[in-house]
Amino acid sequence: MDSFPNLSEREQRRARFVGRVRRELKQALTRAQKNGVTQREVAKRLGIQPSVISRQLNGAANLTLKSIGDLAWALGLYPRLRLFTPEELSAPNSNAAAMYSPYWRNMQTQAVATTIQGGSAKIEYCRE
Amino acid sequence: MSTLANLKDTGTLRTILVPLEPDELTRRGLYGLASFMSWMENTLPSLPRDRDIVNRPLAQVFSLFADFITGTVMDYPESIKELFPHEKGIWEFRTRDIRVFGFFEKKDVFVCAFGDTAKRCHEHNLHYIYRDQAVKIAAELGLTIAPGTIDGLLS
Repeated sequence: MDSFPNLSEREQRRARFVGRVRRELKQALTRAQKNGVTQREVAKRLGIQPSVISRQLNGAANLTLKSIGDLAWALGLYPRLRLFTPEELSAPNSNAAAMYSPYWRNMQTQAVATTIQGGSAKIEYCRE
Repeated sequence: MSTLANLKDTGTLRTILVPLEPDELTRRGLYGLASFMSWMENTLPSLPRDRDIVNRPLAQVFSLFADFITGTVMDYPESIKELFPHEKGIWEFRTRDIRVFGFFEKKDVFVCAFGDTAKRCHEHNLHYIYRDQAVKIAAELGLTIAPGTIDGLLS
């Protein structure tokens, strides 16, 4: 029996997607920091306070399509969004990577792409 | 010593079942003690949205549990962290509004013992009360608490 009977499928889909987007952005920011780009510098490029980025990524402030696009730009990344049918997700070899080939394979080879795995919507970034 | 299977048979423990998406598989185990399950099913759904602008607490916990069960590398220490002292082996799952306390019975198998709001935990300093209660209840049930090694458990 489902342990979340009080959570509609709509809310479930939304919660997972929002979680994936936030995680992907945090990971992109972490990678940037490892390359010497601080959150302060990213915020400066965007003309906002560093705390605004933190608030957007931890759910305290609204993360809009505009803010995702802006953040990707400030990190030197390109955001992508793809929507999948259940059949596409559950088909053999369709788990993210194959959906993007040969683009994905190319990115994977270069080790500069990250794909959020395992959802009905996926966001993908690649470095400039 | 008890096993999870024994405790499930007696109703002391239940598997937390999270609906996954079509391309996802269960890669980790998640269980709840009866008291936790009661809180999750009766209290959590009625908690209003607080500090997370999008998701209400129930949805926050659902998303975090789904990440855990599907084997996602957990965001340490934002989504999961060990309570001090680490030797006690008690961890908390963290969302913007909720804290869930429990322990790893073994690698990738987590037992949820208590849940509460982050606000209440902070205001009443409940972390260490829940930590000690979790240690006590694990001992009473005869459950093993696995050593809290971050690398082993979060990879």
